[in-house]
Amino acid sequence: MDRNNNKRPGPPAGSGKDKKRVKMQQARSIQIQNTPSPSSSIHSTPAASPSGSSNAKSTRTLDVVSFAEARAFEINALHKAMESSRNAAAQRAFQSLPRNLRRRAASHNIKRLPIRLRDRAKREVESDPVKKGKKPDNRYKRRRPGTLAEEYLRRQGTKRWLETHIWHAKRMKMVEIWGYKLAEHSNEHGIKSAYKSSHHQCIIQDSSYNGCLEITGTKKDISDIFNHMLDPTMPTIGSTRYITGKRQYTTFLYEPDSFPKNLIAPVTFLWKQEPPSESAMEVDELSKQGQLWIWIHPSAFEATKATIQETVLKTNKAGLVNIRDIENSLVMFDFTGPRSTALLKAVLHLCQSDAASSYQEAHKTWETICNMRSSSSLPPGIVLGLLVEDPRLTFPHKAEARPASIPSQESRKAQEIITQWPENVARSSIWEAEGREQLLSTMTPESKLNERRAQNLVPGTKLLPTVSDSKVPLLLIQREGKPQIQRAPGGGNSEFECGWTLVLPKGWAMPFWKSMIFAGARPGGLRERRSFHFETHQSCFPYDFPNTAAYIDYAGETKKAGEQKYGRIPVAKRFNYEKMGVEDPFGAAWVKALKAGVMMLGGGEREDLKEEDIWLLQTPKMIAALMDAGKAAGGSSREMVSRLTLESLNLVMADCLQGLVKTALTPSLMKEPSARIDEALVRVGVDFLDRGTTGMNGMIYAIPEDQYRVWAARVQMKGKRTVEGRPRKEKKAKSWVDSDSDEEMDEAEEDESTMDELEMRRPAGTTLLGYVTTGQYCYSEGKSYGIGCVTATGLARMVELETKQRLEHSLSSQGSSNGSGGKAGAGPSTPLKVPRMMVLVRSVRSKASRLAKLTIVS
Amino acid sequence: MVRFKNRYLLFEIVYADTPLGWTSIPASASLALTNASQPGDIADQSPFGDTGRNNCRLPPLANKDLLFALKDSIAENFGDYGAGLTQRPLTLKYFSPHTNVGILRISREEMHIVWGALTFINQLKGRPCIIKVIHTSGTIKKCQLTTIKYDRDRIMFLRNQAQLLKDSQAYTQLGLAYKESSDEVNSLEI
Repeated sequence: MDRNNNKRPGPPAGSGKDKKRVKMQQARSIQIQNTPSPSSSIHSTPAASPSGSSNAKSTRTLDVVSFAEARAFEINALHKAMESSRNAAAQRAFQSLPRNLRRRAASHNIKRLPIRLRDRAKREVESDPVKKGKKPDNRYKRRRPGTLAEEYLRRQGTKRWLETHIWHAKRMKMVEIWGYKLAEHSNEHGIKSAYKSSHHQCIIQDSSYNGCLEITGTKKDISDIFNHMLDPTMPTIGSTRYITGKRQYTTFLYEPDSFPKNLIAPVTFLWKQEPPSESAMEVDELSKQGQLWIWIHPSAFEATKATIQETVLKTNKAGLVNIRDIENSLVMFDFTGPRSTALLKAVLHLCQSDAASSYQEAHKTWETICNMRSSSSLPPGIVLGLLVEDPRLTFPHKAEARPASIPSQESRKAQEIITQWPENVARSSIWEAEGREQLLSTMTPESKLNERRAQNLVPGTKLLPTVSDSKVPLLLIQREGKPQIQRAPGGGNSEFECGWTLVLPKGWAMPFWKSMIFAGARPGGLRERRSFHFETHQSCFPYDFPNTAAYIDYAGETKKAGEQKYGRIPVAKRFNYEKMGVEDPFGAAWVKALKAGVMMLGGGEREDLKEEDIWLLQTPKMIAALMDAGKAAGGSSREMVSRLTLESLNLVMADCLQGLVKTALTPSLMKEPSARIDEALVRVGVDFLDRGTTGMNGMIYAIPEDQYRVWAARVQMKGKRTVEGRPRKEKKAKSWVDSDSDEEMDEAEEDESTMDELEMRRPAGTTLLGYVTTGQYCYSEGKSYGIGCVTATGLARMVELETKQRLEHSLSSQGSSNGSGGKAGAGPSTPLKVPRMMVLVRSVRSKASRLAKLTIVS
Repeated sequence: MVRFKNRYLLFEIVYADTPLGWTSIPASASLALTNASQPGDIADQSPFGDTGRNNCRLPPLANKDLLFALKDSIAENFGDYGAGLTQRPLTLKYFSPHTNVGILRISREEMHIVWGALTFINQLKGRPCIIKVIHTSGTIKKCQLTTIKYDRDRIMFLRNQAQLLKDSQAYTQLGLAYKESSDEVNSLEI
C-alpha cells in the first residue's frame, strides 16, 4: 500500500493486480458526510460581521441536531469502513491454498481441503448465510407426463415443434426457420454420407412442416379459383388427370392473374378420391363436391393462404368454397433412395380384417408393386390409400435383403399394373377430420402394449393385432423428381430423383418414424433436402427461386450472416473481395445483372429497374422461344442485320405466351406485356467444361465476342477433358482457328500460357449474366456443379453471338475446304465441336474465370 | 519480517470559537437577538436556534488545506530536515469537516515530529484553532474504534445536558441518534 500512496486510484483497467488494488482502496476508504457542510457545527453567528463581534461570546450556539447527526454519520461511516476493509481482506479457507492444491468445489465439500484447513472451513460454512431458492424437483417429478408436456410447451416458445422433434433434437442440428424448429442435418453424418445413403440406402425426412390447406366445394368452383393463380401453360387442377384424385400434382402458384410474374411458391395438390357411385354415372366429374388438399412450403404458407382467400373473394366464390387450415393434422415423411420401397414394405403391415374391405384393391396393388426396386417406374404422382396395422405391434422391423431377381410372374403382374393403373386405389379415411381425431384418441398406449408383450410366452414375439388396435389409414404418394417433360430421354438418373411421400394422420409420426429408422432408414434434414435437389440437378424452393418472398427472406439472412462472419475476421486475415473485384460476395445482385443484360442488347441504361419487378422465366416453351429468337438473330447473314432488341424479344415472348395460354381465363395477361423480358431471370445449371469450381454466389459472365474463338479453341484442344470425352490423342482435328502449320505442340504450349492469362483476366461488369444460387462439389457428377440464374436478355444475346460465331466458322471452313478439294466441303466440313451456351464462371474466392456451359434447369 | 511501521494519530480541531467541553448551550433569549441581527437568514425550528446548515458562509476545510497547514508547520518548526523525514508516509486517512475529526498516518519514527507540528498549528485558513491529538495507535482500526467511542461520548454528554436543562425534544433526538449509532455498532459486531 505504501508504494501507491501518492497515486490516485486509476480506472480499473489493466492487470488483475491493478484491479485488486483499486478494489482494496475502495474497501478501505471512509465515507465523508457530503451534505452542504458547515465549517463547524458550533459557530459564532456573525463571526465575520463587526456588528456582532461585541456579543460573540454570548450568542455562541450549538445545533444539537446537526451535531448529533454528524457524529452518528461518522460512527456509521467508520464502522462500514472497518467492515468492508475486513471483508475485502478476508479469505475463505479454500482460497488460502496455492493454486496447484486447489480442488474443484472445495468451497462446497470441505473434505476436499487439507485437514489443517478443515476446521476453519467448517466454521466458515456454518456462518454462511442460508441459501435461498427452491430445491429442484426430483427426477420422478420432472419426468411425469404432465410436467413433461408442460415443459415441452414452455421450451417451444413461439416456434413450433414437429411430432418427431425430441427424436431429432437428440441427433440433429436444429435450426429456427419458417416458424418451426427443424432439423438441419445429422450430427454424425456429413454431406457425402448423406449422399451415399440417398444413392444406396434410403433417406427419410420429416416434412410435416409443409403447411396444408383443405378446400371444399364443387370441383368446378375450386378449379376455377386456381386457374387464376396457377401456371396457365401447365394442366389445370381440374384436368381429368388429377380430378379423380388418382395422382398428386405439383405446379407453380402465382398471385392472381399475374403469370408469369409474382411467383409465390411451388405447391402440391391432391384431390380426395370418392368411392365410385353407381347411380350417377353420367354426372360430370367437375360438378361433384370435392375436397382438395394443398401442401405449401412453410416459408410461403401465409402468403399462399392470403392469396387464395383474396382470389376467392375476387371470383365471387366466397360462399361456395370453404378453406380450412389443417396444418397440424397430418404428418408427412419423404423417402428418397433405392431402399425406400423395401423399407415401406417391411414397416407397413396391411390390415387384413373386415375394416379394410374398401382398401382391397389398393392393398392388392401395393402387394404387387412393393417388390419393385424403386418408385421411379410408376406413373408420376400416383396415390395409394392403405390401411395398416399399428407399427408398434410388430416393432422392430427388418427390411428384406435386395432380391437378385423378381419372379417373372410377379414382374408381369407389376407390368400390368404400371401400364394400367387401377382407378380406385387412392381412397382413404385419412381425409375425414373426425376419423383422424378418433384415431388419435383411441390410440393404444405404450403401457398397454407392454402388458400384452409381457404375457407372451416367448419373449420378443411380435404382438398379433386385435380388433381394438388402431388401424391407421395413410396415403402413399409417388414423388416424381423433375417433371416428366424435362427429364432426359431414356430416364436419366430418375431412380434417384423419385421417391415416396407418406402421409399419416397426426399423432402417428413417432411409431412410424421409429420403425423406419430401425428398419434402416437414415434421417435427413433441410441440408439433405437441398443437397438431394442439387445432386439431381433440380431447383430447391426457396433457395433457387429468386425474388419469391421466401427467397428474399432467405437471401437477406444469408447475406447478413455472411457479412457478420466476414466482419469478425481481422482485415489482414480475410479474403479481400474488394481487391479481387468481387462486388457482391454474400448475395446475388440481380438488379446489377439485369442492367448488364439490357446493356448487352443495346437498350441503354435502365434506371427504373426495381428489385420487386424481377420474375423468373421457367416455362420451357417460353425459354425455347427465347433461345430461338437468339438463334434466328445470330443465324441471319451479315447483310440483313436483324439484331436482337428488347422490343423484338418482348414481342416474341408475348406471342409465345399467347400461343401457350389457350384459355381465355387470363385476358389481363394479354393486354399489355407487364412481364418485361429485361426483368426476367432464367434458371440454369452450370457445368464446368474443364477445371473450375463454384461456391454459392459465383458469378456467371458471358464470353466477349472477340474472345469466343480462343475459348472455343481451348475446349477443342483439351481433347480428353472436353465434355465429348474424346481422348487427347484424337485431337488431331486441327483447331479451327486458322492453323495450317504442323507444330501443334508448340502452339498448344503457347496457347496454354495465353489461356492462363485469359482466365485470370477479370471479366467486365457489362458481361455479367447472373449468379450461382446453389453451388458446391456435386457427388453425382464427380465435380463442381452449380444451379444459378441468368438474365433472359443476356441469355438471348449469348445465344445470338454463339450462333453467329458458328455460322462464321462453318462458312470459313467451307470456303477453305472448297478451295482445296472441290466436293469435300459438303461432308465433314469440321462443324464447330464446342458445346452450346458456353459462359465464364467465377467463384467469389478465385481470380480465375473458368469455362462452363449452361443447361436449363427446372 | 521487515515492514513499514506506522502510527495512526486521531486528532480533533478545536476552533477558538468552540467552547471548551461543549458546554455552551444558548439561552433562548439570545436566539431572538441573533435572528433579528440577521434578517436574511431563515432559522429553522430547532430550539437551539440557528443551525449550522443555514450558516455555511465559510467554505469547508478541505483535506488539502489541512495537509498544507501541517506541512507548513513541520517545515517551520522542524526545518527542511523534518519536512524531508515526514514526507513519504504522511497521509491523511480520514478527515470530516463536519465533526472536525481526522486520522493521520505517519511512520512510527517520525510520529513526534508530526505530533509536535500539529500542536503548533494555531490557525486554519485564518480561523484560530488548536489541534489536539486524542489517540495514537499502531493500526487504523483502533483509531476508528476510538473515534466511535469519542463520538458516542459526545452525544451522551449532550444528552445528559439536555436532560438537566429539561429540554425533552433535544433529549429524545439525541437519544435517537445514540440509539442509531449503537444499533450500527451492534449490527456490525465489532
